[in-house]
Amino acid sequence: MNIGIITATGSNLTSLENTLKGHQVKRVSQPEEAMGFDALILPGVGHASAAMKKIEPWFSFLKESTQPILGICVGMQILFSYLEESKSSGLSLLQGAVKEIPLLNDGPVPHMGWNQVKTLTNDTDLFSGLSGASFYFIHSYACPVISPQTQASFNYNGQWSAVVQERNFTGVQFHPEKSGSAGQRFINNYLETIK
Amino acid sequence: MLAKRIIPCLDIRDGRVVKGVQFKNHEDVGGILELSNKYKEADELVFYDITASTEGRVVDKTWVEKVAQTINIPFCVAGGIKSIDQAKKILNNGADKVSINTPALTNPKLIEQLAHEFGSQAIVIGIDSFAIDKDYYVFSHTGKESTQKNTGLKTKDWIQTVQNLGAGEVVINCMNQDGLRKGYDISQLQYLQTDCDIPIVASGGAGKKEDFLDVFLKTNVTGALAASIFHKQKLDISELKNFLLKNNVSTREVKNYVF
Repeated sequence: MNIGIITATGSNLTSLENTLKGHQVKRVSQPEEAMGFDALILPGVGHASAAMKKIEPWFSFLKESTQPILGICVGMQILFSYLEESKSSGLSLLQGAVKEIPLLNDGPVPHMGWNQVKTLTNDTDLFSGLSGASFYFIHSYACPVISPQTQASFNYNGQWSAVVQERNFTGVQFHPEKSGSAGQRFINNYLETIK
Repeated sequence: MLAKRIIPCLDIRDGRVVKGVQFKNHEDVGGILELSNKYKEADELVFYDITASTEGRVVDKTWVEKVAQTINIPFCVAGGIKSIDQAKKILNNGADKVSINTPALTNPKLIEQLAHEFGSQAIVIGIDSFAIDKDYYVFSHTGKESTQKNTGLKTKDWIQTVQNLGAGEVVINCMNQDGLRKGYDISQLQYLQTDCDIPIVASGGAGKKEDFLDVFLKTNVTGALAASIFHKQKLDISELKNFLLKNNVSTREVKNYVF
């Protein structure tokens, strides 16, 4: 497939590109270059307000987009309508708010490490062959479980969205590119579902 | 449930993985990529350039990208990172976190700047803590015995400071135990974990699988770091994980999901 990686908000592009071996992959830095891809990936790390600033030039492109777009971590969070981290609106392409994970005695924040994901829908193509798998999370903010968008959840000081889907957007809170062979399988599954 | 992390630490000197006892007498244990590749079952890797901090160098960035191309688990780079630019290069080359030790002590504001630029989750503070007179003190410049010194800061106070400045994790290296393989310093970690809201990784002293069980059962640490016990093939990571799982410690099952 022909896949574009939006460079505005991401670092760690090397790891992401590794998971896309066998596909045609191009880094795209401007919306004008982002036409004609089978899918676009929006990676993201860091502070939500920094990411929002960098994604601003992409807003109308993303709003009008129809091709599948996969947001990863902060790349997913900024698609939501409200971001507690920056105390501001997000791009509002996904319904819902991203909130701070509360601190519990045996659950320090950030949520950092490998956690299991539970699928909430019958449509489990994304998690085909991944029963019981753990994925790598590294974040302090997350979106609560929302219906019907949340496809899979994780438990850490509460229940949160691990995967959301709405229209052409899919968002993952974990980092498939850092989640070993389970992450690789997830990416393969995702690309299979949008074929 | 969040799995407890098993974290091999690769001490790097001049592009090779080395290991010493209490920071002394380093011996060569292998190449960076060769050892990184061996640790697919680990939950995270730490690469620590032990010469960078004391010799005023920043870690050579070319191997960071090679590591990112070789492994698909998270990794952290430590050693001599003193500026936003240096951290940015390392993170852009594929590292997930940078760990700061001595430069954070000389310029605590750096923690705040890094956290603001890259997010707290990417900023780890390494703390070399030494037991003196029934309290614990932070040492700096620990890459070499001749340069290390007591900062006079109490470890517990320093943890509060770095947490308030936006650090996302602390690695507490209990220097009295380091390289001796007599187990993690449980009482020190128990003392330091109170009032610490960010994840703690225990470091220094692992010598057998029971030491990992001990630290996970008796403290709140979310990860345990070790070096020689893994490099010298004294302990296989999947064997360690099976042992922990049997003793009700949540670990990540390592399985091949791609056929």
